Amino acid sequence: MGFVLIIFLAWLVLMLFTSMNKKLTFIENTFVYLVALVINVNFTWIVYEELNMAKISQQILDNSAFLIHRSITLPLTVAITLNLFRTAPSFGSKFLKTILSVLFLVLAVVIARYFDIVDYRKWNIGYEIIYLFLLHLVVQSLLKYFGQLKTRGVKEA
Amino acid sequence: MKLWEDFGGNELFLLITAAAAYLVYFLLLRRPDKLPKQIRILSLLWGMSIGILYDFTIGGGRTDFYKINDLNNYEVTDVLYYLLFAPFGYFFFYFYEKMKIGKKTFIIYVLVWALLGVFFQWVLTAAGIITLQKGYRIAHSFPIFLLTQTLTGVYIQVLKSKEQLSAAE
Repeated sequence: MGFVLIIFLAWLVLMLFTSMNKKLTFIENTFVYLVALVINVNFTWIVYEELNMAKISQQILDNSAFLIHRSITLPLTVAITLNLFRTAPSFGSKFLKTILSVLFLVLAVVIARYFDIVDYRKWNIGYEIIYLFLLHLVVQSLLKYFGQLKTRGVKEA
Repeated sequence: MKLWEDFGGNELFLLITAAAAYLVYFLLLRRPDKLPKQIRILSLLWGMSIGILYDFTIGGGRTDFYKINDLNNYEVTDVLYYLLFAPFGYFFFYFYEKMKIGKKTFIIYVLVWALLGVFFQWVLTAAGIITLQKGYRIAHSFPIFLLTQTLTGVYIQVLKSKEQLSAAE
């Protein structure tokens, strides 16, 4: 059942991303997705495999669910949030959107924990929330830098 | 996480290969037909992401089909290995644009890159940087490279329909 719910969340995020009115350019969306992916893959590896602060189920469907969440749901959720930032007029609005994004990702983690897809040992939801906030912050900062690289010679279609 | 198990021939080979790849990258940047900055960064990130995604999906965890350097654990020299992927991302994008790859040449271009990928993996395996395990063979990487390079090619085509790839800096 955990596998089914995690796949549903991945599908939902994918559909939302595909159908939403994107405010970032195609190349910026790719950048955000890849940066979030690289950070998250490395981070989860260090927490789960190196520091043994949590464990991933070795059951094939549950393990696949974890990989799908790690590689699709989380980076795309960050991409959706950063697109929504462009329509956020104030810091408060951006902060609220970040909270909603983090809550959504925490919900996925709660599902994963409930169905034993992941097992927290020295890791906890509090650390996860801090990590997710920092991830949004880092990706947003890198996107700002990336946006500044755009030069006059590159024309939008 | 360790710095390295034993700094030996494989780490040295990795250093030299990475240095050579980045040298070629920086030489290509000196050319007037270099790609725009954003595309450059994106291509480097793309190359690195593909390597990381595959290695942390089938090269580790439950499947654990191969290990990088001396350990199954994360070593600092593994970072060097992932950085090695980055310039190849740029080479793929750069030559795709410079060779004006289109419908007729797409298959050949992707096929050559997939074969190059397998060859490069064979070199890294022979140098002891990659150790295959659990029945995984180099030939198994061919479909992976084929899929990766095809997706990259398709991505570039979509990118070209939205952004101008040729540099004008």
